[in-house]
Order: sequence, then C-alpha cells, then structure tokens
Amino acid sequence: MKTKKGILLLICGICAAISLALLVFVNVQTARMKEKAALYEEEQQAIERISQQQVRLGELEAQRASVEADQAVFDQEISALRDRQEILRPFLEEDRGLYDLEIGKFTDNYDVDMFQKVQRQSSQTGTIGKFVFGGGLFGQAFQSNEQYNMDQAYQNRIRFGEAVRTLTNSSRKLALEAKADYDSAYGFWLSLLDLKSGEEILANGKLLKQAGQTAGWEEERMRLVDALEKYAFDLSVLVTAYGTVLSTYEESFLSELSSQQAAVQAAIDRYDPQWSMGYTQEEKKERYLKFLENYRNTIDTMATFHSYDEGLAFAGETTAYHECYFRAYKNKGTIVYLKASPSHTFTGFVGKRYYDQYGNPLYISLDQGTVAILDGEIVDFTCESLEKAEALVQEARRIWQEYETEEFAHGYTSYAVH
Amino acid sequence: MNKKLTAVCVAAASLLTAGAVAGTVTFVSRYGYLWGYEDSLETLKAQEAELTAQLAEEETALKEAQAAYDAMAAAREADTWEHHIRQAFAAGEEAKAEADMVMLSALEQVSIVTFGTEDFNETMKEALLDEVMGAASDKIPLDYIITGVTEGVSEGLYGYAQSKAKDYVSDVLGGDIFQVAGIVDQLVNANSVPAVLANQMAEKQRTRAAGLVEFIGMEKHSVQDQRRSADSLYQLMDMEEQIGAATGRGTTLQKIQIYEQAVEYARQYGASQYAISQMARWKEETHEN
Repeated sequence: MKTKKGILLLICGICAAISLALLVFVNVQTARMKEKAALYEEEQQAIERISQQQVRLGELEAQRASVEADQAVFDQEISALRDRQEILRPFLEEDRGLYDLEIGKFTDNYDVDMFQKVQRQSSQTGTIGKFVFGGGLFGQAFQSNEQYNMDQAYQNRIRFGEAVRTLTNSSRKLALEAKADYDSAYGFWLSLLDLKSGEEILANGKLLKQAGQTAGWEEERMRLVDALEKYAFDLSVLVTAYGTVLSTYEESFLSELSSQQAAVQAAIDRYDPQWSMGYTQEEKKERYLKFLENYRNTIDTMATFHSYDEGLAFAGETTAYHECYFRAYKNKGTIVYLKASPSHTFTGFVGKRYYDQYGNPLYISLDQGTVAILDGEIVDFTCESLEKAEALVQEARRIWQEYETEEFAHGYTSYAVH
Repeated sequence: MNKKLTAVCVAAASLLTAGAVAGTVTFVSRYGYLWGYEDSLETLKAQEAELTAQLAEEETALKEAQAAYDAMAAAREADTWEHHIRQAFAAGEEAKAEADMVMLSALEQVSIVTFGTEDFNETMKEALLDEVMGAASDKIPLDYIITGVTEGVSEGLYGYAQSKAKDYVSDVLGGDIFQVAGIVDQLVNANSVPAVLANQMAEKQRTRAAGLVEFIGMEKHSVQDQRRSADSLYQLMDMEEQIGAATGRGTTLQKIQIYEQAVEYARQYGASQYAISQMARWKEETHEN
C-alpha cells in the first residue's frame, strides 16, 4: 500500500516538475514569440507594400508604354520630315556658292595720297597760293595756273570715277537686288535645315512637307545669274579701263574688283557656261561705246596733265621715217596710249590709239576712221570697210609690239595702213 | 493524514499539470503560426527600397515621356500656317528694326554726321524692339500681314519699327546734321588734300549719309532697299576710312563687321518676307489653317 502511494506521489512529483518546467518554458517562449510576432507583422506589412508597389510599377510601365506608343506616331512623323530635310539638303548644298557670293561693296576710288603728294610738292615749291575760303558751303580756292592745272587733273579723276560708277551702277543695283531676292528664298529654305529637335521639326511640319524634288529658289537663282552676267560685263570693262590708268592706291582697289569679278565669273560659269543671259550684244555695244567716250576723254585729259597724275606718264616721242611723229604714254611701264601726228608740233588732226595694259587696242581714231574693239572683236567702226577696220587693228597691235624697237622707227611705213 | 497529504499532492500536481497543458495549448494556439518562421525583414526592406527607387525612376520616366509627348503635341498643334506667318512676320520686323539700329549706330560714328551716339543707346533699342515684338505678336489681322508682304501695303502697324525709327530720326535730325564745311576744312588745311577732291569727298559723304537717313526714315523698306542700303553704308564707312586716313585722325568704325551685320539682318528680313508670301500661297492651296 505504501509502495503504491509512493509511486503515485513520485508520478505526481514528476508531473509537477514537468509541468513547472513546461510553464517556465512557455513563459520564456512567450516573450520571444511576441517579438517574433511583431517582426512577422512588420514583414507582412512590408510584403503588402511591396505588392502595392509592384502593382503601381506595373501601372506606370503600362502608362509609359501607352505614352511611348503615342509618341512613336510622332517619331514616325518626325522621321518622315527628317527625310524631307535630307531631300532638301543636296539642293541647298549645290547652290551654297551663290548664297556665299559677295557682290557690291564698290568703294569710291579717290587716290587721296597721290593728290596730297602733288599738292604738297606744289605748295612747297611756291607755285600755288594759299587757300582762301569764303562764301558758300564749300568755299573757293584762289587758283594759280599751277593750281588750275592740278585741279583739272583732280577733276579728271573724279569724272572718271563718276563714269565708272555710271557704267556699273545699274548692273550693280540689279545684281544686289537679285542677290537680295535669291538670299531671301535660299535663306528661307536653308533655315529648314537648322531645325534639329523633334519638336522643331514637328512644329514646322507643314513647311518641310513643301520641300520638293527641285530647288524652290530656282526662279530667283536664274534671275541672279542673269543679273550677274550683266554685272560681270560691266566689271570687265571697268577692270580693263582702270588697268590702264592705275595709280599706286588703285592697285589694291583694282585687285579687289578683280577678285569680285573672278568670283562672279566663276559663279556664272557654273550655272550658265555659255553666258547666254545678261546683256544682248547690242546692249553690250551701246554700254561699251558710251563708256569708251568718257574713257577717251579721261585719257586725253590725263595725258595733258600727266605731271599731276601718276596714272599716265609721258614716255617720249619717236619719229618714224620722218613722216609720222608718235607720243607714247605709259602706265606702270606699259604703253596704253599713243598719239600720232604728221607734225612734230602735234597740231591739226592727231591720230590716237588706246590700248589695254596687255597691248590690245580698245579704240583707234585715225584719219581713215575710228574703230572700237571689245574683247578683241570690232564692235563699231567708221572707216570704209570691216576689212580696213581689221587692218587698222592689226596695225595698232604691231605698233604696240614694235614701238620701242629700232625696227619700228625704220620700218613703220612698210606696215602702215593708208 | 498521509492520505490527505497524498490527495493534496496529487491535486496540486494535477492542477499544475493542467495549468501547464493549458498554458502550452494557449502558447501553441497563439504562436503556433510562427513555427518555423525565419526573419527575412531585411531582405524585404531591401526589396522594398529597390522597388521604391524603381517606382521613382518609372515615375520620372513617365513624366518625361509625357512631357515629351505633350511638347510634341503642342508643337504639332502650333504647326499652322497662321502661326508660321505670324512668326515670320515678327522675325522680319525684328530683323528690320535691328538693321535700322545698325545703320543709325554706324551713321552716328561717321564724322560728317553731327548727331551723337548718346541719343540712341542700347536701352532705347531694346525698348523699341520690345514694342515691335509686342505689336507684331497677335494683334495684326493675318490678311493684313499677307497683303502687306505680297502687295507692299504699308499702313497701320505694318512697318511699325520703321515708324519708330522715323520718329527718332525726325526728333534727332532737326536742322542741318552734316558738317560738310568742317570736313573740307580738315582735309584741305590740315593735310593738303586738294580742295576739289575734298569738296567731292565731303559732298559724296553728305549725299550718301542723307540717303541713308532718308532710308531709315522710310515707312516701308523692301529687302532690295535694305541690301542696297547695306552696300551704301559700306561705301560711306569706306569713305570715312579714307577721310580719316587723309586727315590723319583715323577711324574706329568696324566697316566689315557692320556691313556684315547689315547684310545678315537684310537676309533675315528677306527670308521672312519670302516665307510669308510662300506660306500664304501654300495656305491657299492646301485650304488649311
């Protein structure tokens, strides 16, 4: 009996011990589990948030895809418009030279240095009086003979400058106006190539769609080439004329003109190699002859007052067979003007031969008649026939070539045209 | 006694055991779900942070895409003939006004002209341009702009810049603004330039400067007028250079730069005029706004 009771008590003791241990364990674990549960809760919230973010991300991606899909329509449109730019580009590049061509800037050509030098020299030698100004805006100078002669030389230069301007004014104006129109048209189309961003392209879609398979400025281009041909003709006459009376300053002036002439001619050669536009032959002749009259007056006056103008220098007299007397005038060492007379006093009729700086006759005035030559071609004559005119031109060439040789003085009559 | 003690012990043990069982059951029922739970909060936080960044990126990308789209849509919306014509008109007026400023400014530096540079400064120029642009924006009927360009009408707000410049020229240029005699005197007496030549040079300058003043005062210029005037301005400045050299006082005029500016503005003006006439034609042909 006692044994049974003992066993029971033992079991109870064990159970109590185990239960106690269990209670202690549960108690300890509960505290830990509370922390764990809090973490778990936090994790669940995080998972929830992540889930929401994923949904949001998906929505955003879908929205962006939608916007990008809409954008793709624009992109296609932009791409097509860029293609229009590429169609336009070669046409613009082809004609860029005309856009960059510089015309005009035609300065007034007064060789002040040369005349200052002449004036000072004369003042120092006491051959002219002091200037006295009075009355009127510009005043009047007291003029000695010396001063009068110098003034003739100055005025001659001024008149020549005016004649040159008169010759080129209309064609320069025409060329400037045609250039303004060309630049306007070309500049507009060129500006379409400056459109770079997609927005710029789209904003100008209507304009770009007008870019066609041809240059949109073709009409303006042809008008410009026509005007340039006229301007080039006048420039060539001017360069030739100036070339014969060059003073020191005018070398740089002429050099600028020649550069412009070369640039203009190159442009014309590119667009109209046959030079089929510009002035008609009749117009050229009319302009040239009109200018030639002024030019001859200039040369004659310059020869008379050559002491005051370094453009033309008296180069001496030559007698051919004691029958004809020649007076030669040079510019920079080259004969540009020859007078001929049967009298050593050069009274009565005086024959005249005007040359360019390469010895090509420009105008011949002899008792047989007159001949005007343009670019080596006879454009006007008053002698008895064209053959005679041609013979006079040939004679003028030989005289120029042989004038300073012994053969000329002794052999002149053997080739003189009578 | 022993029996009672035993019974108490058994009861206590039973109670304890029951309490333990109940406690365990409660524990298990409350925290059983945490069985096998491993802490992954840090990983989740990292993932969340990554997603947050992705979201921010995506939102930015979406905003950018939307903005780009909106800009494109607005650009296309603006692609109307009317808008282009108005833009070209405004650009042309600005170029024309700028060209006038260049000419005025150059004229003021030419010795034969007597009005001073202080009369027309940058601030006035800016104010004038603002006025021009304001006037050019949306107030002028479209037909009026087109007719003005294609038929050369010059009334009302058209040629606004020129009107302003004209006012300025009238205000400043009252009376004789050219000191021809002074130039002649300098050339002749100071440096032995022959009187004939000095008179010619001064007179040429006066004529040319007067022409330019008249040009600036004109209500309407064609692009051809502008180009010719730029050329004339160059000649004026070149002669100023020659006079400066002859009198020994020199000149600070930047003739090439000024000429190029004048030509550039003339080009811009011309391009806008050409654009307006072309666009008016295309508008007519396409029957689009």
